[in-house]
Amino acid sequence: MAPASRDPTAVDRSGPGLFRRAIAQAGLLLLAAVVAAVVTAWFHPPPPEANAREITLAQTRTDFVGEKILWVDARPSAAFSQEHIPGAVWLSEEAWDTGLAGFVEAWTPGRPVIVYCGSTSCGASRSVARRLMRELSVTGVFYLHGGWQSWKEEPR
Amino acid sequence: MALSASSAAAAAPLVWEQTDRSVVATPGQETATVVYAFHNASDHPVQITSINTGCVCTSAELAKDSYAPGEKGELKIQFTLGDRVGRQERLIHLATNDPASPTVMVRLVVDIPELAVVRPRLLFWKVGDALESKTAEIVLTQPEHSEVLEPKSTSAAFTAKLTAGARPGLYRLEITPTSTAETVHGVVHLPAVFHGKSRTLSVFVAVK
Repeated sequence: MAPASRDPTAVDRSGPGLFRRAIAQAGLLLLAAVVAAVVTAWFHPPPPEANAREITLAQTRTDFVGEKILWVDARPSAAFSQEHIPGAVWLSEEAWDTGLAGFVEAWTPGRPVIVYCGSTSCGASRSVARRLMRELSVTGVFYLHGGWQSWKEEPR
Repeated sequence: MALSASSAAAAAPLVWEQTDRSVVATPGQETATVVYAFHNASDHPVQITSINTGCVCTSAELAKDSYAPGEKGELKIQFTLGDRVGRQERLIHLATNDPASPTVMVRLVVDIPELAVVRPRLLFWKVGDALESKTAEIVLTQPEHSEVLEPKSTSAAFTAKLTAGARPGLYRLEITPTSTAETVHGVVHLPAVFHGKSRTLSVFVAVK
């Protein structure tokens, strides 16, 4: 009896063949998912300051009732010397360790920390808030939306 | 014809060789200076009316404000590193008197390597806590060019002990308070040498 010719386009529907294909397809799907995850992580890394949240002045009035906020001024030292939020400590990346000493002295565990810089366009408050959390493991750190400008413009 | 005339009118008059620049700071570097070259590709003079660097840490310098057709210019940006570490991005906004392109933005990214990673930099005990040691980890990122020396505490209320870790450049700084009866602050200084230059690392300690 002549052997049956095999159609190259035919699909093998035998048990072991189906199993092998299923494994191969699962492997390909897994590989695609891993590649997608790597690409996503590469182009969209989680923000390093994920735990430092922006806060508005209005929120500070409602969220910290009865708590003594530790204000951190991240503006240049000359601006801080001229005027700052009462009780604020100066902490800038211009002279990080110098400012840290003053921060540590004023800080107490559990006290909310709000960092501000000049205005909405400055990024110093976010950087300082991020470093406080990353380097000192301090929690409850926020950066003020609108910074010093919003403080000055708030009617009192 | 009308389309190409419109395109020409909308084209930016100042053509920049590069608007995005990235540099890596070397150990001990204090400022990063980068020059952005441009030329006026239009048929009329263009004036740069203002430059906003967004930070006192970043200065901008132009030899002149107004550029004739075809004239070349250079914008020099100087970024003062201060105590910053990691990736620093600065966006510099220029305003011109040209209605087709009233604003121009150039970007500077400076990567500042952290020669020593100390975590955490604050160790604290609550008043009344047990006299237990707490530890900060020190990682020298370029151990072949760095070393740390014996720690010194600014306060007698804390003792400090430095031990080398399992691999080169890894250290553990163990700090113990002598009393937690009352509030006290201090700093443990770690003299260090990076690429032949002395620097002091600090760990802040407190009983609160």
